[in-house]
Amino acid sequence: MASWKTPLRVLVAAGSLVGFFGSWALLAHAPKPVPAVAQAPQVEIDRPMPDLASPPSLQPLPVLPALPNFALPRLRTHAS
Amino acid sequence: MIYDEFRAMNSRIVLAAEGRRRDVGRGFRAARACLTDGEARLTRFSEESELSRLNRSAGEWFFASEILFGALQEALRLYQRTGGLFDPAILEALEGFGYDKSLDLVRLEGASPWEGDLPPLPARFDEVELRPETRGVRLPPGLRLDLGGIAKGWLAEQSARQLSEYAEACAVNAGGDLFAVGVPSGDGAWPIGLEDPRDEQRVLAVLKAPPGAVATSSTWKRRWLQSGMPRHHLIDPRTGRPAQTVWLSVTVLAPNAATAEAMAKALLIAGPEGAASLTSVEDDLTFYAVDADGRLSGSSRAREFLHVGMDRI
Repeated sequence: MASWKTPLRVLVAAGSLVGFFGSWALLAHAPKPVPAVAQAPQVEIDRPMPDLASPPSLQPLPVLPALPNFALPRLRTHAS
Repeated sequence: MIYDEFRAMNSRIVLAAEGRRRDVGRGFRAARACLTDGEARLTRFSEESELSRLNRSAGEWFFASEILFGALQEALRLYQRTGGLFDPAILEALEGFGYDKSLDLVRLEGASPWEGDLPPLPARFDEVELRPETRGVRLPPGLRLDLGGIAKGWLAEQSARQLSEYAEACAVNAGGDLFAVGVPSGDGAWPIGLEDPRDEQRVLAVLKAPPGAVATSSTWKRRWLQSGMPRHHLIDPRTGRPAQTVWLSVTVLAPNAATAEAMAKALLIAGPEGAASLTSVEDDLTFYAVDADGRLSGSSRAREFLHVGMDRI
């Protein structure tokens, strides 16, 4: 049992060292990471972007189902 | 809530108030007097009204009452605010298209016949001179005004303020120009039915309006035939003809009544394309528009004032 323990330890240590230095070398020669912004395609801005002071846009709104008159408010918009 | 209803300014008037019944009754009488007195001064359908006398005085200084002068100041501010889309100087065009008497009479007797397009106006509305220190007004020669565009809203606000002296919360609805002071007890807002302009029995949405003004303008309600041609009362100042609009009605919520009324008219004329240039995030203004298919759309804050669910209308 003890006869193969020492060679096994040496083998594991050597494997770890080879793996460590091998990975180091591999990463050292790999392409460097590039910031995401630099990778984004360049877009020509041909009109000003909207800012917070831009006018509000229209939004569709839900309408009520037809309801009996008594269920509705007495004050109405009643267009003029 | 206590209600009172009557007819004035060719419209159905609804007064609503909360408070002691006796006080509210006195308030209703004061509000009614304010509306009828204001109508007598600002109507263009009476030769004796103060507005008609002002129109006959063009070219000379005229000394106006507080009500007329206040309405003119507001009209001038809103003419500038809307880039001229709200313009009280369209009276000649309105009469040329047959609206030269009250709508009840136009429908009963028929409109005056069409006599062709009118020459351009001799002056613009912002050439009207106002002297606040003496309440002096001078119209450029040939210019005549119709304050129908803001008079109802202006008077609804004045009368609601009078009524509020007798009530804890109140609202005055003058044919679609509504002004509210305070809020009903147990509620943080006034429930107001937004009518379908094609069918006034149908309510498209219920608004939860804060104190202030709610005004609606439509091309659908005040319509008539002139020489067989359909006409309506909303004149586009850019063309001098009844406006061609995408929307059938626009309802505006704003802090004051004249602003709500003038902006409803201007937005209706401008339509979806021009609405953005009339409103901005700085405005305390929200609007709702209904198109010919009954579809409802609104400005960015419109959902905040919509009643969601039918449980507490």
